[in-house]
Amino acid sequence: MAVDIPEEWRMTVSSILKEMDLKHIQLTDRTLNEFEALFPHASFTSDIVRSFLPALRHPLEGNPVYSMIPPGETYEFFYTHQGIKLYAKISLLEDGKTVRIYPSHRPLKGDTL
Amino acid sequence: MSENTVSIKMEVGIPTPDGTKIGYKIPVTVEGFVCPHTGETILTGDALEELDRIKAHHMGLMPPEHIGELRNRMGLTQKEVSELLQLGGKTWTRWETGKARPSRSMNILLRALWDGKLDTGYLENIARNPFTPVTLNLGSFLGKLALKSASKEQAKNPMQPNKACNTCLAANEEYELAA
Repeated sequence: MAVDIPEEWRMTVSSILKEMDLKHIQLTDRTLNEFEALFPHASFTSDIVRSFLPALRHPLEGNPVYSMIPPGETYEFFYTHQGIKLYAKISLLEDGKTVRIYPSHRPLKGDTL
Repeated sequence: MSENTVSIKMEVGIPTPDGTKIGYKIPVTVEGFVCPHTGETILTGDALEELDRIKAHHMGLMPPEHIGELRNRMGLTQKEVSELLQLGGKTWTRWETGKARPSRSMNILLRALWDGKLDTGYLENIARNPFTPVTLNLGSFLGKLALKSASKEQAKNPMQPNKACNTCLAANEEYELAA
């Protein structure tokens, strides 16, 4: 069952993404490929990274993901980008300064997390 | 090269000019690492910058260093150039630092400035003065259309009076009154 994603997590992740310091942002190659297929006209790293910001600015429901390795605080959630509903999973790694973005794609398992 | 770093073969998709699909792909090799736990390929700083640089180059986008040089040539601060082009507060700064890329349409404007086809004074003038469309004389336009149609009708029926002239005049009068 979805929970409110903690504001502190949203704010920390947002500020790292907004900063766009690529030393602290990690993407899987699948993330790039999925985003490029969905948004061919806007698939620079900055487009992917900035796509999450509007959703993270407001209260957001999602699921904590406990099984992630490397450890960190991870949430999965839905968000909308350019009118398309997407599934996202983002991990704030243990150092508290690095964000890892797992593939963003259209929901594959229906409308529930 | 650190213990986990590996060379990753990827393809960078270059969008078609209308941006609706990927037109072609460029094979590239970048360095990343494979997560020992999940097997996922992770890309970080240098690799992401390189992939963005290749994509921007093939899309014909002006690179960040040229955007900074262009502003210097214009003799403007980042704030001034943002105001001139009516951009959001940090947009130009992001372009200069490579943290974001201009759109293709904005890139055309930047290229025109770079090539000296537009000057700052001209842009300032446009920015200061609102767009004023050329006044369309609707009555005259309708009249011409009506005359054209009437001429065809008259050619078919030479004895018919030219009603279109009255229509034309009426339309003109109405338009002038409304204006």
